[in-house]
Parts: sequence; structure tokens; C-alpha cells
Amino acid sequence: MGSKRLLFGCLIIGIFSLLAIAAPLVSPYDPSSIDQAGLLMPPSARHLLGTDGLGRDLLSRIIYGARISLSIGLIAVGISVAIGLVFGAVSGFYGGLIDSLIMRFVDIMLCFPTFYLILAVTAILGPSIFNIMIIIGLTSWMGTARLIRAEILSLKEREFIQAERAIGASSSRIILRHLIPNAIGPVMVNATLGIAGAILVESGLSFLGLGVQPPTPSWGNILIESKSTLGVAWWITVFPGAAILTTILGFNFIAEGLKKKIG
Amino acid sequence: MILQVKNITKTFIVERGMFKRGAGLVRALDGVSFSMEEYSALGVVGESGSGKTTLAKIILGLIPANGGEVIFDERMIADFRKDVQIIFQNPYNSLDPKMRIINTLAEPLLIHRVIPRHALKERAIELLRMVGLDEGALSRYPIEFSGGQRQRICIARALASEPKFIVLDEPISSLDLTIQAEMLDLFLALKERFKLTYIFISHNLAVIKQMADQVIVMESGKIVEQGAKDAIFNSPAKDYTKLLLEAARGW
Ligand SMILES: Nc1ncnc2c1ncn2[C@@H]1O[C@H](COP(=O)(O)OP(=O)(O)OP(=O)(O)O)[C@@H](O)[C@H]1O
Ligand SMILES: [Mg+2]
Repeated sequence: MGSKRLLFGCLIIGIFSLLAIAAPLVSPYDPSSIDQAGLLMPPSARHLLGTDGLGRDLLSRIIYGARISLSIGLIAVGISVAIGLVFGAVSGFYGGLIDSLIMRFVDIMLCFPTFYLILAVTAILGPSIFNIMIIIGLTSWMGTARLIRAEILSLKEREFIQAERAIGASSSRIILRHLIPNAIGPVMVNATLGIAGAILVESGLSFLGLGVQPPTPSWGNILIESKSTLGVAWWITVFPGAAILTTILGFNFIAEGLKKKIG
Repeated sequence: MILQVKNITKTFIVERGMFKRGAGLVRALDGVSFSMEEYSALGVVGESGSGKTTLAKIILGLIPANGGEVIFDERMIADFRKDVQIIFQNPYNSLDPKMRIINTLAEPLLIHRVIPRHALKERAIELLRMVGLDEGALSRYPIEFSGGQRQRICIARALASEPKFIVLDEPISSLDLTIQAEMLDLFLALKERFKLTYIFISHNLAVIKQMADQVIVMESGKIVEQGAKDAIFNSPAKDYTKLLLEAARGW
């Protein structure tokens, strides 16, 4: 069951990733070119998913939007995992004062409702794609840190780590070559869900006008732009919504599959 | 004297559970002293919980003692982490599950620069052969091996840095009876070959009889009797030792 889900999830995410990477080759139109023939055209042979309120091809915008949304998810989570790994590993491995300090810092970070924190910082620094990635990354590493710390606390008492010490392995060698590889499994599950989460956060920011700024398409802002035409053009809401939903489902399948695999 | 252990004391603080106030103290070692000559074999016996593993870890510097000293003679033990090694009780737990055997064996070789990098693989194969395995093991993971095979790999890793002193902490107690004897033979052969000095920990006196020439008997953190093997086996002075001997006969 686990491996079937994993496969299915990978298939979904694989397809979206391929579309995103090959966007200039596979998208039928330039995502910002306007079709003079008309705006708000329903799906047809000419525009498979219809056009938006400015007469731009929706399919092309969703394909280009995949690039932005998936990169935001991936890079934000990359940053968050990197920070979480470092803090969690140092905390769990060295213990003592440094552990208390890091864990208090984690508690403080967790006190802020993450979304409002992201919102506030984005409002101050400005909503560029780069800023959004970094801000999501900087505000979402705490779970990873705690997870890694807990794993390392239990791993470091195991005999194979003691054996490493006995053969003279340095602390950094033990952390990098033995503790992290053995602790990374649950983090990967978490990270997969984190990518989905980051894509949702960007959509939420878009809703408040603080997401990726138009005309650059992201799934979030395409969806939000449909708000004003919701009554007349269902496709502008449904298709980007479906893209987000499917992707999140895909990442969840991967996460669940991984979890089963790790045991 | 290659090793002198002087008056080692170790107390563990154990939490008593969530709702009980205060912490309990476990006195795992209480004034343990002994010394060893080069090339000798010391057997340590004692029931479960008597502090044998704690003693081993303190000798290896893996956990700190609360008091006392462990002194290795620097003329024989020049590089502590290279020259003193340990084999643990549980081979299922002693190898990194995420690491191929070749990398596990390469670690001590790399860390102590025993040989040049390009000769690593060849040396790893040599080590495996020495413990009765072959090069097919190199690219496999610990999970693919039986307990006995894993313990052989642990021995190969411990010997990779060419140590002079080894602590064997119940190295066969978690293995099948059928392979225990051949493991003991392997240890004895390796001892001869590498001129090792070792401490052999066991709760099984029959094994101690075969592996040691000096014996220490431990009971709840204290040495209750110590001396030459024959003296202890033929005329035990303490009731506790007699009990252990009785129990061993029942085997
Ligand atoms: N990390 C620890 N924290 C708390 N107590 C410990 C710890 N390690 C050992 N102890 C306690 O110290 C005592 C001695 O333990 P030790 O493992 O040295 O015994 P042992 O002689 O090796 O027993 P066995 O034959 O079962 O391996 C036991 O009471 C044990 O519960
Ligand atoms: Mg023990």
C-alpha cells in the first residue's frame, strides 16, 4: 500500500515538475501574451483551459505558475530543512546549555502564529519571489529541528555511535556521516509535507496581495485573480485550484508512502 | 603495567518517572581498582547490572567517571583512540545501519591514516578474510548479515586500526550457542596473531575460564574477588563467587 501511494505521488509530482521545467516548450502560448480575440473565453480547442480576465491563455499561465509555485515550495523547504538540521543536530548532539538555548529559541519562534509572522515580514520587506522563499524558509524550520534533535538524542546512545567514538571519529564526522543519515528519514516525510504547505502559504499571501506579484504567474495569484470573475468564468477558479489540490495530494501521498517505508 | 585502573566510581542519576519527585542514584561502580600486564587476558564476571559495561565504557573514555583514574602506559599505548578498542555486547546495534560494510571498515583506516587511500579496499578485504568473511560483504549493509557475521565485522573494524588493547564486552552472549565456540577460537587466534592485551567481560564462567588468565568478580559495582584464574575457580573465597560457579555448572 505504502509503495503504491509513493509511486502515485511521485507520478503526480513528476508530471508537474516536468511541465514546470519544460514550460517554454510545452506551454501553447506566452503566459503574458494577450489574445485579441477575447478575454474570459471558456475552454476550447484554441485555449484548452480558456483565457483569463485579460485574455491570456490559462493553461500557459498554470504551466508557468507551476515553475514559480514549485520552486517556492522546494527552495523554502530546502532553507527550512537546512536550518532545522543544523540547529537540531547541534542541540541534540551537544546537549547542555547550547541545547537549552536552541530549544528556547524554537519555543519563541513557535509562539508566533507562523502565517502572521510571514505576513508581517513580507509586508515590511516586500513580496518578491526571493523574499517569499526565504521568509517561509526562515519561519518553518522549528519542526525539523525538534524532529532531528529527538532522533539524535536516541541515536547517540546507540552502540554504533559509541563504536565510532572508540575508533576516534571526530564529532563532526559522527554528526555528518552517522547521525544525520540515520535521522533524516522522518525529516524527509516532514519536508514533503512542507513543500505542499509552502505552496499553500504562497496562495494565502497572494490572496492578501502579498504573494508573487502579477504579471508573474503563480498558482496562488492566478487563483486569486479569478475572484472578481468567479460568477462568469468558472474555469479560472477551477483549474488553478485543481492544480494546487492535485500537487498537495501528490506530496501527501509521497509523505505517507515514505512514512510507511521508513517503518 | 599496560593498564592501571584506580578507584573508579560512577553514579548514574536516573529520573524516577514523571510524577515522582526527585531523582534516584544508581551506584554503578564503587571504588574499582586493578591493573594489567602487557599481553595478559583479564576476565570480568558478574551478574547483570553489576557494572561491567559501565567499567568498559569508562576504560574506553566513552563516558566520564565520577572519580578515580584510568592510566594506560604511554610506552605501549601511544595513540589511545587507535590502540585501544572495544567490541560491544550487541552486534545488531553496533554497526551503522545506513553504511555499507566497506565504508564502516574504511573509517578507522581513514581516521588513523593506517594506509594510503587507494589501498583501502584491499585492506578492507584483508580484514574481512581475517575474521572469516569474504569480499562479497563489502558492498552490503548490516541488515543483510546474521548476528555472528555482524560480530565478525565489528571485530574486523576494531582490529583495523591495529590496536594493542581490546575490551570485549560479552561479545558472544547475544549469539547462537552453535557459533559461540567458533567465535572464541577466532578471538584466541587473533590474540596470538596481534599480541593483544584484552579484557573479556562475561557472565558465563565457562567462557571466562577459556579466555582469561586473571579474573575479577564484580557484584553491584564492587570487585568482590580478584586473582589468578585457577585460584578463583579452584578455591573461591567469596560466597558470591561460589554462587556464580554453582550457576555455571547448571549450564
Ligand atoms: N546510562 C545509564 N543511565 C542510568 N543508569 C545506568 C546507565 N547505564 C547503566 N546504568 C545502571 O548501572 C548499573 C550497571 O549497568 P551495566 O550496564 O554496567 O551492567 P552490566 O554488568 O554490564 O550488566 P549486563 O550483564 O546486563 O550487561 C545498572 O544498574 C544499570 O541500570
Ligand atoms: Mg553489559
